[in-house]
Amino acid sequence: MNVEFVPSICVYCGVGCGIIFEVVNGRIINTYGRPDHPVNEGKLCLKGKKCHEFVHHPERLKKPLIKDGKEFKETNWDTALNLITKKLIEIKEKYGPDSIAVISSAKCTNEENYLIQKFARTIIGTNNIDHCARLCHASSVVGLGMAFGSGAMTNSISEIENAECILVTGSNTTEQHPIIAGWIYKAKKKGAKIIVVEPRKTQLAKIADIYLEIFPGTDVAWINGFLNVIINENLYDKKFIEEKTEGFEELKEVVKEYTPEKVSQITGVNKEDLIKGARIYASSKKSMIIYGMGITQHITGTENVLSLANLAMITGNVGRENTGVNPLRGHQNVQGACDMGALPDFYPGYQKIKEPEIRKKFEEYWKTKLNENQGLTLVEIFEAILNGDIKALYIIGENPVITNPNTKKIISALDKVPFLIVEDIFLTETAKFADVILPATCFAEKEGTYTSTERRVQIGYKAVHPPGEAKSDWEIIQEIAKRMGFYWNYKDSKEIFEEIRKITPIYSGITYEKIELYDGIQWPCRNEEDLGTKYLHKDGFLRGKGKFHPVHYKKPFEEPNEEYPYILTTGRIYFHFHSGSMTRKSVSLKEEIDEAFVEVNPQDARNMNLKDGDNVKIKSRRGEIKVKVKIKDDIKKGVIFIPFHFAESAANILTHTNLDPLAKIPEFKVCAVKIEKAI
Amino acid sequence: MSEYKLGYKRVKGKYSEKEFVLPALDKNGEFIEKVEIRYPLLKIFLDIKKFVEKENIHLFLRRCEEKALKEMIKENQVDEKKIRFSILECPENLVKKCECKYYGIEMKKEFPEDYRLWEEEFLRCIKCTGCIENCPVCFCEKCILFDEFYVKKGEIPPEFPVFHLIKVFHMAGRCVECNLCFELCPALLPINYLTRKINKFVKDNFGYEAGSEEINPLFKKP
Repeated sequence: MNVEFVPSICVYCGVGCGIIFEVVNGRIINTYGRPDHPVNEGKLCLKGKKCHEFVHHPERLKKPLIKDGKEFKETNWDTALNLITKKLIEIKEKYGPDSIAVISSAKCTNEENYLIQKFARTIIGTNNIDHCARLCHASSVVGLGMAFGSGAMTNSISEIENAECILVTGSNTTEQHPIIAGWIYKAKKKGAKIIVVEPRKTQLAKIADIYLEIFPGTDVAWINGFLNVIINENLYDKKFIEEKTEGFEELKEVVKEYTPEKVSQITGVNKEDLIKGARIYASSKKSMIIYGMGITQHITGTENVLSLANLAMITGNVGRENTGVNPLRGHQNVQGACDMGALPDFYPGYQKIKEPEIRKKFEEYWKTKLNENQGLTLVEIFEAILNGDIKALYIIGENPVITNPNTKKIISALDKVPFLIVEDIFLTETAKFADVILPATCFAEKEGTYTSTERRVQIGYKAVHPPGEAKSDWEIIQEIAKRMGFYWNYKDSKEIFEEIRKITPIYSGITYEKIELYDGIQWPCRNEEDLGTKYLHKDGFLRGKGKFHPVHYKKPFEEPNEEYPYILTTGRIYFHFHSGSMTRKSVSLKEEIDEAFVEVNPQDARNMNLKDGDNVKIKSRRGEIKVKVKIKDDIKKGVIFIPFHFAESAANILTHTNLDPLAKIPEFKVCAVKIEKAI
Repeated sequence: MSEYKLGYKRVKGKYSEKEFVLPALDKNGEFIEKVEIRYPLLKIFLDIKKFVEKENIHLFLRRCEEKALKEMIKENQVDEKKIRFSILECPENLVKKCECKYYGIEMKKEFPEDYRLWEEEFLRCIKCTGCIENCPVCFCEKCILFDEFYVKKGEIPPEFPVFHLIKVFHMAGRCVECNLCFELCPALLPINYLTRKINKFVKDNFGYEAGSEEINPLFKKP
């Protein structure tokens, strides 16, 4: 009998909890939290505790598959890779490199993401590379980049404990980042005031000191309301504004009209609570903002983020311990995938492709000419397929049929694209459309680094062998590169990491040795002596001066009307993760809940004569789905909520593809729908 | 016949001088005799036990875990003949943190007997199942807390007081006060106060303490 205990990082959300796998005779039989890990201290949520359950699932992909008519046929690696190589070369020669797009994955390691974008940029020759960060925190990367000069979480998770005021908005923290919620509870026990701004009365809202129940999509309005109160009552930090920021006067002008009365009308929040909230946030010495998708997934996503940055800067709550503006990232490596440049406009380390000097640097490093055209973003890639501009799509570890907005459109694009490669661990809804499917390894079967939401780069070690012939994503991409005539010969993830850090300044001081020794290193880490950065902007903002971007409130793209009287907001639930491709294969999580529901306010339910458990049809201008009603006090009247995990009643059939103009993020959080009783 | 040892080992990192302190099951090698961090070792023992066919297991247990092992033997979960154990002493700071009665510390804090207050506390519960999955005396193959008859599925927080009080009642005269349920609770729920309270009740009324040599009076036929 062989028993091993292998340290790793949980595969689900961005908290980056340390775990150990209990491996008996080559199979993981249980997972425990690592008590000596600096973030989770041995604690795990239910998803984390059960994160090994899908690893040995019988439906894991074990051999490459090629579509033969309507069926998939098993094949060997050589046949599959040769077909891919032939097709990619053909399409590249006939239509040019920009007719190919690659979608990378926030579930892959940093090393894999680096190679995938390097493959797209140097071998295909296109910047059409993106991943699901486009759907979650693209607006944070853009917005915080514009205001501060860096798009990541400014402070660290453990700093939450000593904050005096914590403003949580657009984040159902206890369900989506449970371990971070634990740090908020620690702060509360020490006397911190908690302010929650949400259209749903979340678990955290119930224990909050102040809860503002806003209408979805009115974020700029309430934040401008806060700013208005803070300026009128002279609660702003004059010294900080003068020394460290620019653009304050313009901000003052814009927020003038956002009086509490006006804001109360727009947001549906009562005036007194708004004023009280603003006062608490501004007068606490250490105020921290924590936010999630409720802020970013709007056509005004970037503006929402800019507004939060305004709020933090006006009160001097950036660049100090226990403060800051803190986006909670969704995947265990979505921060890393962004850092590695799996984005259409950035090389690794947020170095802009548009800057000739930077491009030159990468051309020299990669020894090849690089494409100067900005690539297409995730949602645009599918539009481009429909326009006929994209002829081949390579999707790695993503399931856009479930996770992208307007499912019908995605499906017609996947049907249309002449050549589709999908690389995944299960036969996902998206994989069914592929011409070639490649079986990949999951997190427990490979080694590599992951960057958590607090910029902590950590190593996940290999615990078990992959099923069948599955290979890790970096090996697969290297095989394709070789066949396309490029001599890639990395022997392990560490060697790839060494290449990354030489060209990525924020990672340049990070090594595998240091990561292991200190249980993760938080970037920026610029040299050998540097042990990483706990909080950003300590000695002034990365962009020089922090910039106020005054913004006006704009209505969401769709507003309720007579025909579509309800606002639909979508999101995740505690027991599942994103497209459910992993959690719905996990026995314990599936047992908890395995079907979609729609949360309806009791008053709305009465008006429509609906009972708990009734079947209803939800219709939007894009399509309709059938779901069960769940009546809940916790949701605002006029608003309904549907989780998007469940393919049978996929919430994204209803959502629209209108984008934030800067970050190109779709508005998952607001669309107009109607409810009809189903028989 | 050789025996397995189950305890803690220092495991050298793959890339650095780092020494991970990890649970280990092995026939040889150096096991740590005093260690601050703790994994739910008895849980790990239960996981692994199913795979061990012939060999005996030598466990390195903390004082609280030793008591838990005794309970498990009494409850027919462990074959006494197939195991032996040595005591793993706890360092002072861990003893203090746990307010450990086996090292002569008396828990001072009392949680008020106020239903509403408890209701409010348990609003934070996220049903992570940590208080079950890490508890050294929870062993049911099918825990009734996952039975829809008692606790609604797919919702958090789980209903109060059903979920939490069933857990607590099952600890009556069985809780060895290891504190792991509290220490590993992401929502910082002081469930250990309730289990200690019910333990005290059993002790005051039946004169029985978990881990003692006697049989739990609750299991005795009247």
